[in-house]
Amino acid sequence: MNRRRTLDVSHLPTFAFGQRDPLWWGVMGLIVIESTVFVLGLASYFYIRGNHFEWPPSGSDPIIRVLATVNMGLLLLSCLPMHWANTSALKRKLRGMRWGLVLASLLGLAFLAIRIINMQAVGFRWDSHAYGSIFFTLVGLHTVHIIASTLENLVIAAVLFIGPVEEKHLVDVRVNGMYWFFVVASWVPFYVLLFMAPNLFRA
Amino acid sequence: MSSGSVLPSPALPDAPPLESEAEARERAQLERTWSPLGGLKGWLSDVHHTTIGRRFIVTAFIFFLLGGVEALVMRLQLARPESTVLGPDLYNQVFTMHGSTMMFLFAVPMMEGVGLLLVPLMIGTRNAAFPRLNAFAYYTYLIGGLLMNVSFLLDMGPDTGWFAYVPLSGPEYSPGKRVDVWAQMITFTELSALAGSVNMIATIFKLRAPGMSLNRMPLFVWAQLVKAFMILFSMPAVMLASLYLAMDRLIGTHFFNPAEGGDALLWQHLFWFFGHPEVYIIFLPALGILSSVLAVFARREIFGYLPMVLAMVAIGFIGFGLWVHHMFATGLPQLGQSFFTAASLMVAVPSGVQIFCWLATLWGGKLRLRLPLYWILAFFALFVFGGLSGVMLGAYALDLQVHDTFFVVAHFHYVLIGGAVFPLFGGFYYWFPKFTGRMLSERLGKWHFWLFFAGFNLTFFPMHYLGLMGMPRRVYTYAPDRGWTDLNLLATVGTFIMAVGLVLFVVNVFWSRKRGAVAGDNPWDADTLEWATSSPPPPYNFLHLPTVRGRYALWTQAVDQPIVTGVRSDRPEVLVTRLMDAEPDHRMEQPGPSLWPLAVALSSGVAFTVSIFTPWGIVIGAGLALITLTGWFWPKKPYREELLEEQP
Ligand code: HEM
Ligand SMILES: [Cu+2]
Repeated sequence: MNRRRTLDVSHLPTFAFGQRDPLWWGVMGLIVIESTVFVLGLASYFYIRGNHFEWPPSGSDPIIRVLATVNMGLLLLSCLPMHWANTSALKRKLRGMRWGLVLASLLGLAFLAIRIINMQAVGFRWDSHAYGSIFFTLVGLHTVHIIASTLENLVIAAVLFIGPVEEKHLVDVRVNGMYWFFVVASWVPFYVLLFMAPNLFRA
Repeated sequence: MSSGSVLPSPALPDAPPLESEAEARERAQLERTWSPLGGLKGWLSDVHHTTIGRRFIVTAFIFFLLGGVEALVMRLQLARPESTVLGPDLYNQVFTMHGSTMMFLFAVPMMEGVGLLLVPLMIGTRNAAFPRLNAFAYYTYLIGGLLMNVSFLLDMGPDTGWFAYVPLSGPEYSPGKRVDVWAQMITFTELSALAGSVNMIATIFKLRAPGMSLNRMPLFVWAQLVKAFMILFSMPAVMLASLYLAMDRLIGTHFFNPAEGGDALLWQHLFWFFGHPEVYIIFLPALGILSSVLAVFARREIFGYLPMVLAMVAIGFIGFGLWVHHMFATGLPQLGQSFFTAASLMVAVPSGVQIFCWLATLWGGKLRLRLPLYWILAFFALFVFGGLSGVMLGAYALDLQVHDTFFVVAHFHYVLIGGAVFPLFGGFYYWFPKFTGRMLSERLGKWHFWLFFAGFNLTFFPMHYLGLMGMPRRVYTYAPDRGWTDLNLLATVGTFIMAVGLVLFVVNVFWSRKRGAVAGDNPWDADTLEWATSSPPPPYNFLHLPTVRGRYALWTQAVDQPIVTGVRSDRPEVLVTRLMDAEPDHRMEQPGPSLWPLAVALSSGVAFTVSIFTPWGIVIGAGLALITLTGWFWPKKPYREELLEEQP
């Protein structure tokens, strides 16, 4: 048989970082979906607010703002160890990846504990009024993200501690980090709107 | 490359060259690597895109038949005034089941399945990007569909219409579990569609054959890509809405309760922010099918590739600016009325561009009038007709007059059936030989076509008149003195004629699968890569991964078009290429067959189904999901050469 022309790809690597990697696109897709959910959640918030003269309808206690601010700080702080894990993945360093993930998870757990206290202190429930409904739903949605992300951090950390560690886990660490940054950043508008300035953009 | 000029080279029935020994070895190895496991476990754990795609298609078709039976029963009830086939309560359930089944369990998953089955083959790769996610998407969809249909059998079927408007669907006016079932079905099917879309985007962006740059992608693939993006931005709206609804009903929130500061119109906004794009989510893939069939049966390139792509993208964007035209009857401010009327009329522009490009393709082509083309030509007639009544409805003044009458029912069946079901049948006749190795019978096929076409028009054309005469939709009966009797009877007769056509189609499929004429690899002389492999394709899709050097891959290939070598055959490996120009970038190993996606789907099934009865469902389901997800992602035994130097 005659020999066909060929395009040999055997020399190519078996993984790649960033937008060269299909998994990166998968997580990007997830981020787009979640962002859409959050934006539509905000839109619902504004829509319901439009029906009210007084907002929030039942006033609010200063302590929950303090707690919320502490919590926002914790989340922002968690970006440091996550960044450490991320850069260690590029440098193929196990230690940074492991401990970066563990530290970020601990901050995530602390955040969750404070959030539980915070939500008990707000003084109304999801079934008190429409404001309570949207408030608890938005906070709840974000809490679910923190729980899921923290668990994911811990599972990846477990893989890195138990081993054997493969090269493609470097990609997982980076993609996971990207998602964590998203979960942190997406809370900022909610923090401002739900806790600090509920009447923002109001004529 | 100029469009519309290059004629496909005449068919060269190139005798298959004898396989060399090395090739035979490679084939055997690929066979071992890519074949599913055996037995029941193999069946449940299969993750290959052709299997999952086929399952989507078959399941969606079964739901189509169920929805069709529901339509038949409704038409029986409406054939005569004051008839008693269905009582009012059952009629409510049946039309809700019909609408929800057709939209959520048939149309979207069907398009999803067609894309999943064809796209990886068309772009010349061995599987979709995330095989396990595909299996998960299928099982979630199946669970959602079963949930709704089993509930219906238990007299718990949803009964507030396919868009479940509050306050009717709220806790006050719809006690019981019917609407909860509907809301959870939505969650399942949308989850499935979202998973499928992420997968589709990653597949199209990263797994194209070397040389298939974005501007050489088949129009079918473009259509699937735009569809996937539309799903990402629209489905979250209906998921959020159904979450609010479920919470209002189950744990006492007040999203839609005006007494506590909620707002019923919030439901309509969220629903239609999804609902209008939904129409294009169904319709765009149909356009993709149409372009594929048209190029092959007009035997030339589609006129105006670039305008076609831009039109699809434009429809994708404009589709999100239109939702309020479904709410003209809710009393909008004047400015809103004009804005959304204008936007609704604007979408006619890209649609028009597409129609003219196709007409230009037909104009200069040497038509081969075979069955797939029949359905496409019928599409033109029906879709233009449905589009015209759509432009009428897009005008605020007219919409107010015929809102909630049978005029609307006639309109949307012309666009949905004419615009999606007809191209789907065309595509079915076209691709059937690829996946079974056999041709469908032309004679039975012609009967199917003509009966379906005639029956369709007999059913739905009279409904325009019924609507103008004032017959409202969603009524279970009418009085004999209204003058609606004859046209209703005619519509019912038409439905039965369609049904006979469908039965012939099913007979044709079963008969031809075993006894149809043997098709060969490329019976239509088609241009896209799926025709470059055997019929049916092997579990690894291609023995040699192809390369591409033009838009119409097989029509433009060089005599010595290179093949890709160096992708491992002893592991399920795929070639990853660059986003824009599809240059080879790296090789990626894919996860193999697994039962975990099924387990995760079942745990979300538990979560959502049990939560209809108690909020604990969420807690139990979340626990199960945690365990099963960890199982899913826990790494398999690694290969030595891919370990990190540093180890714990
Ligand atoms: C196969 C032939 C079909 C027939 C004979 C048929 C007939 C009908 C009838 C009689 C109604 C109810 C009218 C009323 O009482 O208000 C209806 C509603 C509807 N149909 Fe079909 N239909 C067919 C196919 C389809 C398909 C393929 C789709 C979508 C892809 C579809 C989507 C709908 C929707 C969304 C509704 C509205 C349900 C509601 O009011 O909530 N139908 N159809
Ligand atoms: Cu619309």
